[in-house]
Amino acid sequence: MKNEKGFVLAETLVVAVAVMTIFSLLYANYYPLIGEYEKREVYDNIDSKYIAHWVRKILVEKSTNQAFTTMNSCEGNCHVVYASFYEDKKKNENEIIREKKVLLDKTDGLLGDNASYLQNYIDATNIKAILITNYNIESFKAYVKENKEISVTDITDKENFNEKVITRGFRDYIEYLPKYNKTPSQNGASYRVIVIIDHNTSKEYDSYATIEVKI
Amino acid sequence: MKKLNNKGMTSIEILISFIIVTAITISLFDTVTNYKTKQQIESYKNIITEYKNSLTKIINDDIIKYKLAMVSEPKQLVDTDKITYKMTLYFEKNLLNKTTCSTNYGTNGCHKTIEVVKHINLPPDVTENEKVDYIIYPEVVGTTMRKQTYTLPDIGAGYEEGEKVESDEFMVKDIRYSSISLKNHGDNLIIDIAIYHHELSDYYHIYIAAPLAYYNPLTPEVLPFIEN
Repeated sequence: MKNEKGFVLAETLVVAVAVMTIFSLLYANYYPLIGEYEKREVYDNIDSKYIAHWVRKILVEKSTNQAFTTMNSCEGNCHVVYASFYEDKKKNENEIIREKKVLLDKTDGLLGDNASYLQNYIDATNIKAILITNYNIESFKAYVKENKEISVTDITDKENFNEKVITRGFRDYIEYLPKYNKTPSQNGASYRVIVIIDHNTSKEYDSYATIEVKI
Repeated sequence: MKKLNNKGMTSIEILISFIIVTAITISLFDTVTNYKTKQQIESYKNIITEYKNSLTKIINDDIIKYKLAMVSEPKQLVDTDKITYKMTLYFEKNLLNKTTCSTNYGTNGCHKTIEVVKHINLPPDVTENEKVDYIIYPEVVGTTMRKQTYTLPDIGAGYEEGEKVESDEFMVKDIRYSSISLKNHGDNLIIDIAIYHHELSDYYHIYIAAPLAYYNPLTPEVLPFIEN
């Protein structure tokens, strides 16, 4: 007479191992999502969004729109208006001071007599970089994804620009953004302003925001 | 015919199964506890973000809608148990028409005063409500303006009621303001209020940055119409 009334231990073990493997795989795939979620806390948060709003307002209303019309000079459809980073310098043996290094500042050229508006705002809010792209950022995304630096001819210190301004965090943010290519902007916007803000609190971090621009 | 034992498991089988289940449970215990803590922290984050977002939106809406013209010198009033930070925001509404500002915002008023109250040195016997840091920012109801208090949300007290507290320790809420800065930085209003929680440090800020007199530069003739 055969044993037909249940599973033997070996069968149970095989099934248990199979189920455990499936759960382990699921866990391994799910776990990075938590990190991803934490990273996204600084994407388009309310503070950064209002800062992007003011940057857009100043660029559009205080300039003659040169910032947007000279966009084609940049491969990947981007145009850097402002870029800076902080460098720690040893003042003496015990003291380290943070020194701001401006890598590119086109605000004067773009805004003329009104440049102080944007310059003051950049200084007050610790803006690290202002980039202008097309509304549809498909080509810009592809450019960033290929891990190439953003082509900006005016910047001489490209090493610092790529390392400290266009960081991995910024690339992650650009990859996270949709391409905006399925439907045109409902407001008829043609361009996009992307702002990187340097937060120097107990936990140093950058936050990012994008906002559409209609000329 | 030999009869097979097919009526159940042997004690060895049960023992092995028991050991396996125990091992899995023990290994999962840390993971589950870890997730429970994470879930709790996430709920704190949500509460803080909600508070921060609603206040930021309220203040920014005023700045954009009524057009921020200028701000007063920030004041800091130190009391025995609290520090109050004050700053008045003047809007273009009626200011440029040289109408004297009044508190009656909806008719001819043109300013709102933000007050941030941070508690310090609290004795152990103060009541729960007195321990909470808060922001006072007026809201407009019809044609009048009334003070609205935005209290920090409650996500637990540092000490349970009745618990003995050393005399040099302060009764604090788990969430409070750590650093508060209201200033005029190069003709820009900067409000930066860090919200502190011991698990999150002061990663969350109410951060508002807006240019002053963006639309119309203020002329000296307007200034006497601003009350101090």
